[in-house]
Amino acid sequence: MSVAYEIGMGEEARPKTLMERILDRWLVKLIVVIIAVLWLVPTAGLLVSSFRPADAITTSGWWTVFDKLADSRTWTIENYRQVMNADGMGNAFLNSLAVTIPATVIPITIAAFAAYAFAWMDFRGRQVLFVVVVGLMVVPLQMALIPLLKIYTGGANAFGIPIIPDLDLSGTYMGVWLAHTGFGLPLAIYLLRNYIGSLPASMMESASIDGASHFQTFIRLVVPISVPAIASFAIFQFLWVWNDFLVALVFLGGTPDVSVVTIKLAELVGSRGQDWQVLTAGAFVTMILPLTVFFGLQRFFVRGLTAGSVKG
Amino acid sequence: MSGEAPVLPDSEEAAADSTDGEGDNATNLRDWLTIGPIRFFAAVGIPAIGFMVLFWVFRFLRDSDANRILIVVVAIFVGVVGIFGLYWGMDRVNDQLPARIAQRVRPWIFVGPAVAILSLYLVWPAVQTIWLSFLDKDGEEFIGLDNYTFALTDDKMLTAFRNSVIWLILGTALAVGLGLTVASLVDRLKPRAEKIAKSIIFIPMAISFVGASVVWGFMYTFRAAGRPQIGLLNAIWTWFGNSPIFWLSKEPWNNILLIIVLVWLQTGFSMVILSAAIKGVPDDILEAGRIDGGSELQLFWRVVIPTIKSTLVVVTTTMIILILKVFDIVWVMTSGEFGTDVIATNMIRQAFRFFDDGKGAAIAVVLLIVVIPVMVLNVRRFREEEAMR
Amino acid sequence: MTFRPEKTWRLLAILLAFAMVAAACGNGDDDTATTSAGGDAGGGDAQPFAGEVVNVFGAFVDADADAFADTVAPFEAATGIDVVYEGSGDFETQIGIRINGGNAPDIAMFPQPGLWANFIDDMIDFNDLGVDMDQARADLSDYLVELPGQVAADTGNARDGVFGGWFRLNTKSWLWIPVPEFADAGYTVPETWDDLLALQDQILADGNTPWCLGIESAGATGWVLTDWMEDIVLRTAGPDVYDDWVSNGIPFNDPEIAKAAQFLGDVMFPEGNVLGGTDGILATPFGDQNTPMFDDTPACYLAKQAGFITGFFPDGTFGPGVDNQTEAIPFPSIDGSGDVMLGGGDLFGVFSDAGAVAETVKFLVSPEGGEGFAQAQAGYLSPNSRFDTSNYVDPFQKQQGELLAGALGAGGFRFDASDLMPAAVGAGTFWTGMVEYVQGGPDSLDDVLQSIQDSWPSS
Repeated sequence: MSVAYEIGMGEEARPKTLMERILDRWLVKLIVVIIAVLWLVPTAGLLVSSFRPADAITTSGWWTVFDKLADSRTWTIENYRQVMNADGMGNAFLNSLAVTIPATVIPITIAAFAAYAFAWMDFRGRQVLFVVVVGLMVVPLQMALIPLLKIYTGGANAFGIPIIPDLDLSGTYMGVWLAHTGFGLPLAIYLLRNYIGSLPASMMESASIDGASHFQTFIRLVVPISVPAIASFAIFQFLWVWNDFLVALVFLGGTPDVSVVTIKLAELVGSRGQDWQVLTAGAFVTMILPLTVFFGLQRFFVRGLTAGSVKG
Repeated sequence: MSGEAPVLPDSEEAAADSTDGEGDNATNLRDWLTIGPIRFFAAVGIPAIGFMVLFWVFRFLRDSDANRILIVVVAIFVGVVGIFGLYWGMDRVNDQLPARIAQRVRPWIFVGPAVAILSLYLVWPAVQTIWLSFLDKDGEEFIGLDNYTFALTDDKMLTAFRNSVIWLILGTALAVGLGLTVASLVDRLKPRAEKIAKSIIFIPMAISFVGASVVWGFMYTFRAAGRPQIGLLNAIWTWFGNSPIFWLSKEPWNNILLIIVLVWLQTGFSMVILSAAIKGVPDDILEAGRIDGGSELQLFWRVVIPTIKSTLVVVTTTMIILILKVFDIVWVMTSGEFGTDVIATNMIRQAFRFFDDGKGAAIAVVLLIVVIPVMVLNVRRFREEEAMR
Repeated sequence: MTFRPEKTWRLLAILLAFAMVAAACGNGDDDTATTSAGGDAGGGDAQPFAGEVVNVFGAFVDADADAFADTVAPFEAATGIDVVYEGSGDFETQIGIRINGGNAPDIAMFPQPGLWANFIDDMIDFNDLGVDMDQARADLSDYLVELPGQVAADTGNARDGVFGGWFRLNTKSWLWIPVPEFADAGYTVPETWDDLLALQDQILADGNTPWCLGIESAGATGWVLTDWMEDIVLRTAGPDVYDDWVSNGIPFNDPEIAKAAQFLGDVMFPEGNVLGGTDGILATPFGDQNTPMFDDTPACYLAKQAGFITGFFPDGTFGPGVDNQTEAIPFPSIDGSGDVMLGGGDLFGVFSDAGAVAETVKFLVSPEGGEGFAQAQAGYLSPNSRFDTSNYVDPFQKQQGELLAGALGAGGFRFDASDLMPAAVGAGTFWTGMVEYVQGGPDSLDDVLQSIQDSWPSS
């Protein structure tokens, strides 16, 4: 089905009365508020619980705190103290940053080039290759761990000929960055190609007529215009890597010098999970940075950024 | 059969392109001899070299006991500038080639590094997984299709298929539908209100899953009648005078309760992507529609939806794949008991709890196969879009 | 096609530059290899292994990991070996990935012997490590000596040699009662199963709830009830039948096993017998199970759980220097069963034959190997008969140590059966089956046991 739509709204359309417009606006607000409240309830429950003693969490509902707000026994910062004061927590934060930032930046760069090629360059097998790339999203990363670790620790041989040398990547940041890059690339390419591919052909043609090479077109035109798409992928990749536990544990390990925040938190929970309440505080402590990134990048999601650049 | 879609001619090489004679055998052979290895080099060799440069930088830093902040700074520098430099270098190398060859090779410079990394990190494991799926639990003996027989006929797997269908339909519809609803509604709010509303929907994405599992455990949990309910659902239920119920054990509704957790977690994803697309709908078209007297709902269906259609397809595809792979919600909340198992939990259980590599791999391959129709739709969509421009 | 020679030369020059960079990388690799190997090996005779690192990977974390550091500290000081412990709650998954991925630790501590047996082909024989095997055997009870080999054989992984060492044990056969309310209500500690059933009725007659029981365990729901089954089978049928059951010598639907399940049913199913009924059993996290017992008026008077459950008790309810509000009593005997005790433990396998690793293994199997751990963590019980029990500093630890020693001496100690069975049963259908039994009620028992038996791997 082609996207043939008409701007005219048909015979029955008539201008709206002021009353109707006000109602419309209130209806919008009401729906948004209802959804927002529904979304906030579990978060609020977690936040309230994070300030309660473990024994209280399991014996009375979190909403009961509102009956005894002023009672000092209701509240505790013990959970946060346990998280913040844990040995090596600061170190774990640094490790998480050292893993996450490059593991966000590298796939974006590589994906942007590939997405441009898939969208605006002609080469044999382009469509098949693109579909394969997108289809790779479904490969469960759990299934990739052992084959990859084998390559990291021993390289790869085919019929006795080394194809990939033993790079000894296991336990290095590099190994984790590349792993996250590999696992994040399909979605990155998919999202960016969708965006870059929707840019007007006329724009590309005029760049081409101006004598710009593909490389120049990409750097000077496509990348600046694609900032909103790049920013939205950056947010998600950052989140996934930041909250990742498995990839870091497999490729970097869980020893105190290299363990990331998620691994550190899992340890604080104890051998049998007896200190699970630290997870409540931990969730908020670890959430701060991704949320900051989200707020920071939100300014790229404004109307007109794309349209303006396209026209200009 | 080079791509039939209309794409840009390579400006520098446009002239050379016109002389390209497809039927010339000698040319083809020469092409094959020259472009083949260069393509291969562009796709594999250069990324490998670039990778080694990165690795060398990293080794150097680690051995010099540099602190982590410095490592991160260098990594970012190398990750952005270095990788850009790598592409630039490859592009320059390519420029030195005869024009006609350069034009053929250039796309591979752009996609090469991605293809190389994906081949190693996803294609190779996928090939191994397919191979393993025909072997026994220790990956030693060839057992034909036995693992697939299991994956397609075992009682637990049949339940899992049923549930996965429910997950795919309900989960995708709700996560994409709500994301679209929020994205389009907040677009009408004042920027400040919009930011707040979007942040609220986004927050669950930022909460680590372990944290989310604690809070949702408390939503659905059960305490004996007469004791204070600590689960919100039962608190409300008993407030109306009912006896508490362990909701998560009640088939088939428990599946929906688990899907709600997913929707809560993932709506932020579709909202962010769709919101960006909605922001791209040109203002003047919307205004024109409004002046024509179109209702907001009409504008939404006739202007906004068609404009963001390709993004909707992308978000839906991504959500379907994500849902196919979701296992932790089920794993943590019900252990897959009470008829809540999905395909992915069976895969993880076979591979990592029962150490049956063959069965785990076969289930993973089933996931790969299930997603093929979605991919076919994407190809169509892709062709349509290019035919249009 | 135009062929411009100067372009070709530039191309070659750039490629050459790349090649040189690549070569430089190769050198970089070599450099690191030599620096890492070239530690200061000459640490003197006092520390024969100075600077060498031994990696230990296990399932215990946090305070237990600290306790492990305590326990190896004197050994490290004496030998100069740096024992680096890494613990992960995700151990079961991780160990397989690491071993199969070629990144095995030097020593891995397996909480499940069944899991340990899976990787026996990758392990080093203790005989090749220079461990005094005669002494090591003499230090252990016969059951513990035989068990690893037996599990390997049962799971189809038999291999000649000694591949497992015991590091620590724990005990599971405990009931918990509220103190002092239990005695105040006129209840007496049940010595036998009949006493227990009579006590249930008495508590019910008083209008109270006898049991607290919760089995929810994110991702692993079901193990609490397999523990129950094991404790009962061990007493109704005896250790020998228990061993047959573990190796599938008798099937799951054998009358002896069905009888044990019915005993369990007598606890779970009578109306009002368990707090919250069957929904309560399924919904309550095992760690929260005992909490209602600490109410001002106990909401239940009996609960069964392993010794480690004390870690979940609310602060100030149990432990040294605290006015105990609960107390552990041994699981009652059934039909005159003697000194029996169900338990678990850590069995370690070795993946490197380096001298420092061998030295560490010798230390871990010695009577001194767990002293620091025992002092730091009350959950530690030594498998070693020469272990100095004065290192048990906690009263409950002493109590557990005495019963464990008695059972080990009498040949009545048995390892958690579900950890010995093939994972598809022990961590699969046995768990699931127990959940189905709770949901389905007494009538579902035959089907449940049959389906568990059917799932037993054929090989």
